[in-house]
Amino acid sequence: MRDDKPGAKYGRDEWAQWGVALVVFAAVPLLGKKHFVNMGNEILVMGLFAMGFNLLYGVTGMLSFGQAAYYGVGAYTVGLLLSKGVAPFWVALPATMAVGGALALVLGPLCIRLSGVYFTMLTLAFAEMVWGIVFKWYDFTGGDNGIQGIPMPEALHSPLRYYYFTLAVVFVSFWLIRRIVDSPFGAVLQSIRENPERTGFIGVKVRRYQLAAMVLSGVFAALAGGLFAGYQHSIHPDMLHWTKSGEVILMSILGGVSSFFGPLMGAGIIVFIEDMIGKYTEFWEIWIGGIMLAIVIFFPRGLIGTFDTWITRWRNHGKHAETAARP
Amino acid sequence: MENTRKPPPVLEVRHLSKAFGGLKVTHDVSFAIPPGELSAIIGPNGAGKTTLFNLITGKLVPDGGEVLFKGERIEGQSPADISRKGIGRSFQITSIFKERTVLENVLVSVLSREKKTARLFRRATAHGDAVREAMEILATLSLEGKAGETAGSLPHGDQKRLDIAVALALNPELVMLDEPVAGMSPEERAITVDLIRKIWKEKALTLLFIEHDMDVVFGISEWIRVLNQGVLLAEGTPAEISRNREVITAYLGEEIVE
Repeated sequence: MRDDKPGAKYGRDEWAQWGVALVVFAAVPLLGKKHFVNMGNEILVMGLFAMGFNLLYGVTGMLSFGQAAYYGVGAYTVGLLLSKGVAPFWVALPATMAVGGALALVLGPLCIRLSGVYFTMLTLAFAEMVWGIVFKWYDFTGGDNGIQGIPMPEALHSPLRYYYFTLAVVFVSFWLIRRIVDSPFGAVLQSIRENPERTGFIGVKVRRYQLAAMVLSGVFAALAGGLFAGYQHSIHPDMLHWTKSGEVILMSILGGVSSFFGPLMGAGIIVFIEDMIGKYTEFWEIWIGGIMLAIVIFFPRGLIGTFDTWITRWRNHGKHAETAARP
Repeated sequence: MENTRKPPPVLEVRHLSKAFGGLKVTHDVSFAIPPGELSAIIGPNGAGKTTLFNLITGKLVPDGGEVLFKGERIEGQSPADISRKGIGRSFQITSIFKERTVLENVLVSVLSREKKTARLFRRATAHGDAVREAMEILATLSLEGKAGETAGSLPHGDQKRLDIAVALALNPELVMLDEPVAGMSPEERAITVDLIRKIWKEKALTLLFIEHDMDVVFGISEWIRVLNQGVLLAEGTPAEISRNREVITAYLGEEIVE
């Protein structure tokens, strides 16, 4: 038997990627600029959001255009519980996962009745409904004012401490996602992506697994939203807007949906571009559009995915040359 | 012999009907398959052979009639439920998980049968028994050497055999193969037919297949059913079918009969 393990196409060099990612993020505060810590925090949060989204899209093959609903609901869970003094942060943050999962349990069955682009449209429609409720329900959510001055526990007051807290939560989540992708459950999700019909014919109730994928994806999105609320101390209904859903799709495709760390890489690039180009021009979206175009043309499998292909090709080069030499 | 009673059929189809619009693709079809039989379904294109498979395996819901698997009615149930009961099938247009490895294709099927697919945190490949079983199944189809390759990169014949392997991983009592050797070279055909017959014997399966290659059909079948325009035209032993006037006119043509 070969040494190849299932999910091997997620990158044989993944251990190196884990190492590099951890070292880079752990080292960000050493640069000594508050600005970089903020940026690092945002990349981690959006990275978690995108990696959770990719469990649905890259792994299961379901393109949701409504993930911002879960992200936003997670943020509002923290915002509301803390600002109304109902629960401390240590309870509110795990609660985001329960709330995100519960929302997916409600919306999921309504969306997975359809597939393909119709599924995508339904996720968008329901997410917009959730956005509408948060936007209009002044008495409860503060409407378009959002929630400001979310009181955080003493231990996490310093941005540096919160950064490392986020780093820990996000990387534990990455590890959980990795385990899920490699598990028998993950194998079924990938089978559904490849061939939903055949997956039914091996005795799998496909919709049940699609719903489970939506729930897990919602759980991680909500956790990311909760982390964001804790770091920004203020939240806004824009977090639930469809543009936010579009942003994670963009990030995932940019980094590569079939490589494990692709979405994190995409998150890093987009946050970086917004920050850098945003300083010089209001029209940074044009730049993102241009870069996206270049990626789609020159890196069809996303940045990490394409690099993986190059590395594999380079490694196999010797072998192929040998084969070719044989008469 | 003390017990002369015939064993109850593994699969029984009673008055099965299906129409697409005005076209009756399956019209009042009835037959019973005794356990352990290796039988073929033949008929011209559009005779309703694949439709019949789809009605039995739950891809289509019949308009009328019954499908009984080991005495239990299963018509109208989902493919997932029917597969779990013990019917495995392969597809005319090869249906595998192309971006996954050959091993993963079969492993997920084994894990599904063992009801282990709700496991979230243990690696699929850490299920040693399941991996071993998947490798054994691959070996029965001479695919064990390609376990680590991406399924979609295999040559056509290997993909066809992998399709069968995925079905066998369910450990089914009834295996239904839709044109298992279509598009293969003559040598590959011979090898695959031998493998199928060997698996049928060793696992004591009931095996039903659709095929257009009459050498294969008459070479290995114990029983042949002929469909024509949605109707079961005839059934019998290969010898009987090759002499049947109606079948010759509708499908076989004269050259088969000496």
